[in-house]
Amino acid sequence: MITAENLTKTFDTVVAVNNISTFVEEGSIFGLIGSNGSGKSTLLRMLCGIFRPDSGTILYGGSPVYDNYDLKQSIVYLSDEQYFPWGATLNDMRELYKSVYNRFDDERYTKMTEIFGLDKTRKISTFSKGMQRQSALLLGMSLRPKYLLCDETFDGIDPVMRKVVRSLIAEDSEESGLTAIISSHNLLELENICDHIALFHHGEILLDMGLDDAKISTHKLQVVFSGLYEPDFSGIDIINHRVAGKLHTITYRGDADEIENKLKSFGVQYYENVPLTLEEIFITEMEEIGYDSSAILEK
Amino acid sequence: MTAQQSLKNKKHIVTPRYIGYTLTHGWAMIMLAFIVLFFTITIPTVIAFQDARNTLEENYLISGEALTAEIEEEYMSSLAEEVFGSIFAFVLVEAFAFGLFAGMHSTSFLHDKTAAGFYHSLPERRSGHYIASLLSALSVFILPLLLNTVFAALICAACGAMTETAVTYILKILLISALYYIYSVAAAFLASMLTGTRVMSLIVSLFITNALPVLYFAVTYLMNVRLDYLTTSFWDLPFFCCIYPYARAYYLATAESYGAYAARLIIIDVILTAVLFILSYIAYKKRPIERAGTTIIYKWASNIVKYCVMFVITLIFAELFSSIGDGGVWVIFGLASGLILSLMLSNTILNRSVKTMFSGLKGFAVFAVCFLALYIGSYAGMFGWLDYVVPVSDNITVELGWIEYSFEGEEADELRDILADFVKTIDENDAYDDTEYAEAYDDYISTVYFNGDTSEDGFDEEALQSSAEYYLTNQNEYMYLNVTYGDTSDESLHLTYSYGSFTSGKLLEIVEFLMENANYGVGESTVHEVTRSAYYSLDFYVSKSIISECEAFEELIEEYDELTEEILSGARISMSFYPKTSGEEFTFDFKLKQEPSIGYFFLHANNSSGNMRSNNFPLYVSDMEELTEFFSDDELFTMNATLETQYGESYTIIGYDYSSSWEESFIEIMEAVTEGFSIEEYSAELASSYDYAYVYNKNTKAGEYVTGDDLSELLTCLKRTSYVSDEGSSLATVSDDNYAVIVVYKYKTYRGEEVSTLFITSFLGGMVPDFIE
Repeated sequence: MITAENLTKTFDTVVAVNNISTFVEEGSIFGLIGSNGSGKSTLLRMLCGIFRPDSGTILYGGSPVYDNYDLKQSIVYLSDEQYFPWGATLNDMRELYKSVYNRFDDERYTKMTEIFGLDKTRKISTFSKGMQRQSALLLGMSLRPKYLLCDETFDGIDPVMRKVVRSLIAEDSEESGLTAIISSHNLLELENICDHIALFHHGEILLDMGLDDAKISTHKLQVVFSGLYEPDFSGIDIINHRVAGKLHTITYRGDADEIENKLKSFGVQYYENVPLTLEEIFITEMEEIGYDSSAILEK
Repeated sequence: MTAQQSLKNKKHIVTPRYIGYTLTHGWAMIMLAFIVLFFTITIPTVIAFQDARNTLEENYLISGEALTAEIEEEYMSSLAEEVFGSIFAFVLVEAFAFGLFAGMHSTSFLHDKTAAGFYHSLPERRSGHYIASLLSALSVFILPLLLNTVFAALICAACGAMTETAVTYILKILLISALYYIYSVAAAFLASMLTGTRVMSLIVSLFITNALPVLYFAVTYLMNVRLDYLTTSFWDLPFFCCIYPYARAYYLATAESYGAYAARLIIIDVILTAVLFILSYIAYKKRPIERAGTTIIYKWASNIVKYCVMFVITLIFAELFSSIGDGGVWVIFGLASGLILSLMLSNTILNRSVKTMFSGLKGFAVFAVCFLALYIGSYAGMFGWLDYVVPVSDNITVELGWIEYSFEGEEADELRDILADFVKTIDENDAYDDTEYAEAYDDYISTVYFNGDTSEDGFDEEALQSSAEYYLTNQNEYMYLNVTYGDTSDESLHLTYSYGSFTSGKLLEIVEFLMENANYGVGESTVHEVTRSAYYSLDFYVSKSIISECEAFEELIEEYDELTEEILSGARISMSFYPKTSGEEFTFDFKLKQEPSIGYFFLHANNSSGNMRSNNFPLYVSDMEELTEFFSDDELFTMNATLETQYGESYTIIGYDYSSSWEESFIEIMEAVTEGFSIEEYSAELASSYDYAYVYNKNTKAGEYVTGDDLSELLTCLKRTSYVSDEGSSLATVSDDNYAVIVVYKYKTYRGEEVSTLFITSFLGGMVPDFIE
């Protein structure tokens, strides 16, 4: 289990990560979502031991990660900006990884290069942006890490390859207990693969729960009241409430049955629970704290 | 990973495979260094030695002389010294440059955010990254250097030139160049660990190497605005070597042999290199990776660079503007502009933004106050620098002409007492202050100015009095005299005090004596930037009968006479030339003659006793012709000499290989000296600034003044080969048997409009102008 407690990281006067605590279960796939500059990348860099937190601790099964050579053997970090040494080919990168990691799965490496259709002897700098991301991914996956930290690595890869990578991660998670932490703006992507999410904003975690829990605890309904009684919304944890004519669209937290009974007691002509996507949860949560598109445009 | 594997890994400071990867992927840099060194070491060695033996044998075959093993070894040693001496200098320059380049290159991953993130996400300790980078940097130059020096050794062996000299030089090239390469890598490493961009890394690398000497210079300059002796004594090579790696390298590259001093320099570099590496490692261990891309990682390092740069720039501005105008306004303007501009510049560079050029105002205010206090205080003598007493040396060395005296212990103390008394005498008696000069030099310099009336009417009378100009800077300034004495065969002894180092007790007595007894004298003196010294330059003309009253003088005269006799009786001055192809030494000998000279050779000369002396020797027309003829051969020569013409031009001829192009230059110089110069034009030019001449008839013991057209005519009578000095110092030599001519003219001194005198004494060479009779 990865445990982060009271992490804070400041860059000069900017607080990138502000006293956050979270944990990631072994074998789970953890999604990090959040607005730009919310601190996701900083958290990942601290989690893989590049940055030292100003305060707080990061433990992998009880071991600190910073400058921990042995622990880092099992961690692969794929940055949002890929780095390859000047003039390096895929084979050169394989040699580099082999020189520092104790294990490198040549078989998977060969297989994945074939799947991605990448030339192992061509300079990576001549690859397209998407191919470079594929290169970083296949090299990282070939290490068969215990912990895989991906910072927007999927962005820029075509849907087919994304699906392949998703499958491989899911497969590794299931078979060898891979723990993956994936940050992305593609919420659909995360929804499809993650079993836990954390929502970041301004260096703080707004939401940190299992994806199913998130969906269970947050609901969206559409209702048209009959007008017999004046509806009373007090006691309902409403996140978002829009009214279009007689149609009320309400996003709320709480027990769905309880709320349904309460609202129906005011007399309803129409009532329907609407399925909530991760993106909607994200937007709804962000709107609650004033980070919504209309508010931004009004500025 | 098994527990065993884990345990095994923990023992590694660095993963060997990672080092292997790093080294194998640095081959391009190694190849580059190899190619550069191949053309610097191997190729020149081949060119120099491939035919050396054959050429030597051919030359000896032609000459019919027997070529012995000793001669061959001597020649090969000489060649090795020449070739490897030049190579050494080049390799050292390359070592510094490559060290900087390789050090920066192998740590460049720290200056790119993406690269820094990538490498530090890998399961490699920082010690591992450090060692891998270090070995990668070291391999760039050390391996090619090793290979090329081995090649050079093999070439020497194959050409039969593997002498002890060659081996010594090859080892020196290898070890010393490697040392300075490693030093340069260490400086670049520390700079890289402290900085976040490549440009700043380069700047800080140069800062690490140069900051100390530059700051030292700035501080000593500030201290020495009035104290010349500090600058000159601290800026000599032995001291400077201690703080400047380039100077240390230069010394080691040019030293003929390594003694204790060289060993000390090497130890300094070894220690410094180790310190730089340790500091760089500590800086790296503590380095926050997220700071990659910022100019300087640590704020304290940024402040050091910033305020050092500001200090030097502000000082330069202050001095620059103070030299423009006399008033304090300019100094204030210089200080203000220096402070503000240096703040703007350093902030803009360090923050990479013009918007921040006025940031850090609190620190700036503190710095400005400290700097102003230091600057103003230094001028006001607040820090006691001006009262600082240089430790008195146990020895006092005195140069008297070509003789050097050394005084120790009580004798030296006595000498100092005499000096003190002498100074006091001048100060209290006939001296009057040259207020203009005194003001300029403020209170801590006593300027005492003696000047006889040198006008036409008053010359004879005034000349009987001592005429001298004497500057005393402070109690640390030791007087410094050099006596050149020439017997004129008349009743007068011409004694010239010119440059030299002060002084024997005898001389002090003499000076005191002369001040009271000289027949006449006109002189000038200047404060010169010579270690702990001021100049006291006097010309005294006194008769022998008076001299005989001074015991000390008599002793000196006796010694000098012996020396003169020795020289005139055949002291041999030799210049050695080594034709490059044959290696045969050509020694040009000439004797000192009593004939007009056309210039000076400055050289080391062996006298008949085999004692080495170093001095200016006159060069005569007849010798010159022979020399010119000698150089008509199209040969390459090795020689070392300096030619100085009588017109003040100086031609330094020092070096190794001189081809026919040099020969042409040499001949041109000679022609200019002997033929191509128009004495008429020169005389006319001089005449325009002359005041008068005083012609002294030795037979009648009477003299008269010559002015105007007569003066011009007199000057045209001076043979172009006559000895003329216009170099600003006083010189007195004898004329022919009948006449002595002293030409006096006015000129502007550096002190302003003040009129001083300059002597030009010349030979008439028998061409006595009509008006003289």
